[in-house]
Amino acid sequence: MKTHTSFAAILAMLAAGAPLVSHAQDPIETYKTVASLRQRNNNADALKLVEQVLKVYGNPNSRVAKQFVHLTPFYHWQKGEILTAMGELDKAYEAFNELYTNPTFKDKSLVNRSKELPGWKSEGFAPLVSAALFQMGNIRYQQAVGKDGKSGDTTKFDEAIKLMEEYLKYYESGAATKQEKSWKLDGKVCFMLMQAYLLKPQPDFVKAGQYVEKGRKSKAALPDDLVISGLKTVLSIALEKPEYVEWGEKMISASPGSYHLPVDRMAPHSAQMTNFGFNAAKLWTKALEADNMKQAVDAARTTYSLFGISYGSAETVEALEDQLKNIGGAAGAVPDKNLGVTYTPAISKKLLTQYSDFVTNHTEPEAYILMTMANTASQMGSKRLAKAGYKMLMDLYPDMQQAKKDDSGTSYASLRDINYLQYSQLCRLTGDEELATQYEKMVDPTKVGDGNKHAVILNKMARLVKEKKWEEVVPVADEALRELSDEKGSANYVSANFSKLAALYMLHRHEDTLKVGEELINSGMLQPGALTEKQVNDYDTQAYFFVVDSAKDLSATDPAMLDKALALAEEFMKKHRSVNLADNPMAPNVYYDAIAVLLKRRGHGKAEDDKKDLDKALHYCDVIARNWPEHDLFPLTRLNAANIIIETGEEEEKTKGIPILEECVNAALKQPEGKGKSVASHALFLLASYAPDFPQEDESAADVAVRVAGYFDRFWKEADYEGNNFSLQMAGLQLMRSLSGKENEKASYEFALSNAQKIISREANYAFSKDTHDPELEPALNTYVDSYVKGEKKFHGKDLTLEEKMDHLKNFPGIQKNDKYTNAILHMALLTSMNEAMLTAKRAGDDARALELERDIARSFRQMRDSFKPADLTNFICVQLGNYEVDYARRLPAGSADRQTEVAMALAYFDQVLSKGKDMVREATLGKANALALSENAAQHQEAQGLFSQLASDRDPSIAGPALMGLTDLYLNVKKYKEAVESANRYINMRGAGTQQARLGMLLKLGQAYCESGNVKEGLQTYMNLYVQHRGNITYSAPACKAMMEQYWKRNNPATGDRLKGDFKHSDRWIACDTGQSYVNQLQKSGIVAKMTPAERDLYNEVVVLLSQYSKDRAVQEESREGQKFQSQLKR
Amino acid sequence: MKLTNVTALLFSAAAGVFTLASAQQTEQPAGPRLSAVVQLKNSKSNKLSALTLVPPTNMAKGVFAYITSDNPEQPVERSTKEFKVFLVTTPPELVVAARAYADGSLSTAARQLGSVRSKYMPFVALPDNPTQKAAWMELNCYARLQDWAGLGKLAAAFPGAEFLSSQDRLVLEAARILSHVSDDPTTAASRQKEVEAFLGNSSNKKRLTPTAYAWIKYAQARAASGAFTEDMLKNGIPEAKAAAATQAVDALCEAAMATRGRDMELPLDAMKRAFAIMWAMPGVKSYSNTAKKMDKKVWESAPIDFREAVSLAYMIQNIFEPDCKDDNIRKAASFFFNAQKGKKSAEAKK
Repeated sequence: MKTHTSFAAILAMLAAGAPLVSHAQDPIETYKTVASLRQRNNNADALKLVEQVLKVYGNPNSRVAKQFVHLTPFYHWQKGEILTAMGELDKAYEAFNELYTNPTFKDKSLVNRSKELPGWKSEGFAPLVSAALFQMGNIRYQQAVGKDGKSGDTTKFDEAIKLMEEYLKYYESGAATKQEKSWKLDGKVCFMLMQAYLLKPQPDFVKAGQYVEKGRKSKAALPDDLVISGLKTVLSIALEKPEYVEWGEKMISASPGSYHLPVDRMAPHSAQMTNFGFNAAKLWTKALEADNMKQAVDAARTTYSLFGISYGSAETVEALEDQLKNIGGAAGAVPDKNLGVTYTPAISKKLLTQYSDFVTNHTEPEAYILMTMANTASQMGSKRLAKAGYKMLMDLYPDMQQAKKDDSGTSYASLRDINYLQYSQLCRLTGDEELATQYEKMVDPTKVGDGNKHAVILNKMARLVKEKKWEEVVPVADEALRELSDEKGSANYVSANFSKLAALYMLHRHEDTLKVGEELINSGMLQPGALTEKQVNDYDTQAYFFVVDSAKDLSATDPAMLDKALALAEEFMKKHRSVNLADNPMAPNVYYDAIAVLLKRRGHGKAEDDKKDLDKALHYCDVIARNWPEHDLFPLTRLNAANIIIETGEEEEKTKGIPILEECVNAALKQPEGKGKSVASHALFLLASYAPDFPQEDESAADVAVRVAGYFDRFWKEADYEGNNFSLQMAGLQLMRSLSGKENEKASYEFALSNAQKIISREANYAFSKDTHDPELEPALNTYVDSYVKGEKKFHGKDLTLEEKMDHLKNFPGIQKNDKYTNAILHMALLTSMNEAMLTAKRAGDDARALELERDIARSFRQMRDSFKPADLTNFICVQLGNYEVDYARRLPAGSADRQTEVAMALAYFDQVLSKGKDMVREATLGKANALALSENAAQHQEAQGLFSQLASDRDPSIAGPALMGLTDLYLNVKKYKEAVESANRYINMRGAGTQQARLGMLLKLGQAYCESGNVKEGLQTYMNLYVQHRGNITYSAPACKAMMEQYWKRNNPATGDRLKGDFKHSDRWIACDTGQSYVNQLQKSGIVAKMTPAERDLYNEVVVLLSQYSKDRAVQEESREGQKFQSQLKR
Repeated sequence: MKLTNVTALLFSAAAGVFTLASAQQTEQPAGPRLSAVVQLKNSKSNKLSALTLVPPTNMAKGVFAYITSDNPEQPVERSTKEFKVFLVTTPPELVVAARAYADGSLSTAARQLGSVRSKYMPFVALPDNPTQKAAWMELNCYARLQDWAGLGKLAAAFPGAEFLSSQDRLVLEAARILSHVSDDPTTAASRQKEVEAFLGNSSNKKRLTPTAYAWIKYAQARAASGAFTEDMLKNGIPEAKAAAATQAVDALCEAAMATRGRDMELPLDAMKRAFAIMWAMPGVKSYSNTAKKMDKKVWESAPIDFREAVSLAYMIQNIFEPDCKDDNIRKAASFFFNAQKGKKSAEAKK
């Protein structure tokens, strides 16, 4: 033990110069022997000698003793040292105590005598007497601390402290000997006191701190190892007992220079200090969690103080390499005497390996410091500092590893993904969603640990939900559900389930939504526990809405879903009764869906069920109106309620719909950002439409008119907007209404006209800009043209010429040239006007004008065909153009090339409509069949027959009728008469098929078909019915008459029977003539002949001509004569 | 609890002190002298010798001159290359100055280090010579004191620069860039470019010492935040500049973390600047004027910039500068809410 040898050396020096008195009893010579024995570690013999000397010279009465008593203090000291070395600490204490307390040794003269000894000239044994006190303290301190890893008797600290403080007091009083001062014991005493105060059972950090301060002021620079070892003592206590955690920082800041060592000198301790720092940071975290802010900031300061004296491994490696360049070649320690430091190459090399390993393994402590700083900053709420920390971690330590030690050794795991994940989460917490997402995408979920893996997947899911990337949400939610399969019912599991449900709903995957939603609702997972009450409620109410809404949508193709949707909605209503939207936010939506379902279910069951449904729907409308008048759905449910009342209610109830619609408008227009304008528009349109029919109580017609004017006014001022579905209808309605005004209400008409024009061009341009087609545009324009003609006549007394009309349409303002769609509609409107003019001319018998117009129309159609590709045109116009082509082709010679061209053209228009497959499909199919029927090609006939047959089964007679007509014509044309009979009969027996004229035309065809098929009897019967019942309708009666005549003539049955016997039957040919004759007679008698149109006259004349031809037949003439003869005989 | 045998250390230290005292007595006071502990490469024994160094006539890397007591007037010149051990003993002035530096008395240290630097200039070609040792510390003092002029001057005229390694020169380059830091918003863009050009060279970043890296990060942060003058901070940052302010805060936060807990002067300055910007962010001041008593709900619904500013202020006032006088920081810190309260960290669960 160096402790003792150093003092022994001092005493040996003293002994060397001591006077020799006698060999045997020479205490000076004996002292040499003692020293030599001790050097050989023979403490027992050394002690024997010392005790012998003390026995001999210790007796104050002995003469010898008197001679050498001034030497005994040296032996007492030696005894204390030897016993200390032998571990006999209590005895050693006694030895030092004897030296310190023996009054003899306080005797100045005795001290002076000892000064004469060489080597102790200045102060004699005096320093040993006072230093004995120090040794006593030191012994108690050692007993308290324990030795060789064994714990000591900590109760001895108090005595050690008492002794040390006594010594320090003496030292500071200035009484200390020069020798003691040169030992600079005060610094060490302070250090030991500091330690003792810390290590005693009840540590006293205040006292310890005071001694740190005091020690700092002492003149001695303590060596690095001692300084750091003291710090370690403090830390090992301060970090064990969190209430002392501040002392780490206090210790360092009391003497920063002692601890802020240069890199190479810190190298033996740096990693350990860093570890202490990590432990302090853990206390920091714990204190925050316990909300002990005092302790938290104390721990924080200690953490930073420790990081502040630690170095990174990279710089440590560099410093050690530099140091070894200078001293690496030395066999042993190399001192820097001024600095009081020795450098040992072997130690430095070992450290170099250690720190290089940190770098090689990417486990640099400085990276962990940065990570700890970031994590603690984050816990303190500074996510920005934390984010910066992780940014630098990713930048500077991209390969950072975590060492894991187990039985099989040390393994390393990359922290890259964890760091990226942390950074991404911190970005999110500081509001940089974009960067968060960018980095989160770079994280491999399998490399962030199970807990984090879940977090990554759940974050990804949350992110996709936030970004509304519903397609991607579903698989990620499924992944989350798989990952969390062993924690079913946990908040995360339910959240994943719900995210999936929401995504399915948003994707309109109705069947899946219904399945997943019902499963969730019935899973039993939606209950408080893992979830909060609020979460349970939110999930359950929304899940119900999703399933109800999906079932409702599914009912479009599956009527059974109507009942399902309603059942689910009513289940919801029972379960979630709160009318407070904070608790039950989806209630209005579910009620609204229930209303929609009830309205849709109408007509699927019995009438009385319908009535019940309507009553219920009205009731639900009222529930929404009563409870949630501020809700977005309020206006819509008011609209529904009014519709139900007006469309299905009792007549006297209907007026009640009007104020409800007004409520709807008022509420809708109050909605922010014009959200309710669309609903308000609908309601205002209904109000303007219905109000005149349902005057309110005590309201005159004039009052109603004012009110209606107000609806229009409000519509244009408050509800109108570009792209509004009701603007065109409203403009049309207002224009038509203005026509019924009085002549002096011209201004209303003028406004309505110019407004309609403005709205038509606005909406045309809007649709054009959006590259869509507005189906309302065409009817609106037709209404406009019609009203314009009527209005000009009524208010301006002007009959518009065709040219004026055409000019007006051609100059329709605001339509863009390349807007083919709208221009085609305008063009069609022109054609319609021309067609009307042509028909008017025909009616007036102005054939020349009619012909001229027909040519114009034909030219115009050509022009249209050239200017607009079928794709530019509305389906409606396509069908019209196609039908025009068919009509035109029909007038061309069968089988001619021209006819084929027209047929092909017509087919192009119809196919355009059919390829889009939206509206006008049946009309186009009919047109196509008509076109195909005109060809001479058997295959096309076959196709036409197929199309006609298919359409003939349509429930809509306006489609089935013309189809049967076309089919009949086709059969007649291809001589399939029996089939023609059947199709014609189907037509005639169909309710609502075609006009009276068309039916009559069909009867003619039926007659023909019967006759041609050989059933002349039925054929004649058919003609007969037509002829008898519609004689006055020349267009049909004349051909029927003619056909009958021809059929009789052709059958040519002879007369049979005997006139006298009364069984005479005229011959067919006679009947043929008689039929024609009586037809002609009756018409002439009735005066119809005079009123006939030229076309009718032509048909009539055909009968007359045939009659005159048949009448010339001799047999017929003979039969007539015989008949007349027989008649005259009867008269006689 | 593991204890070191304190007494053993204690007295080994005492032995050191005794020897130190005797060494001091032999020091010759005249002229710049250094002592070195050396051992020749071809020396057969393991014995170390002490040399008294005097300025060499010819200043070249590793060349030194020494005198012996036998012949004090006739210096012998040799090269350190011939020695396997060559350790220059730290001169006492440097011991004192380094202690002042370690104690954080930076102004005193800078002055003392400056005189050590000048005094031992003739030995600048030696490895680990006191002049350069002092100069490195002095450079650090200027940086930590934000004495940009002193820093720039020393970096530009670093003693014995010709004997420095390329890495050391890189550190000087970083010091030069740091010395350009200023409050002048008009130079912010050019400073930013300078930093970017420096960091753009990826080998620079790899070879930088942690201290120099932190300098560059600070210079970068000051350039990025240069546009946010005191006036603007006083009047509030307009919405249009909020994005740039956020970037400036990020840069300042990096500067705050870059030293990894050492030499906290520049990091603290960066934190205060980051705080000032966040405190001036749109909506923060008005929120702070109406902010209610903090609880979890209020805290979580407060603007992000507000929470960040408050947390940073709290850390500044309670960890890094307990006697901070800045009114805004004190006010902001008073809103602090401990969001960790009641949480259970993985550590605590164990």
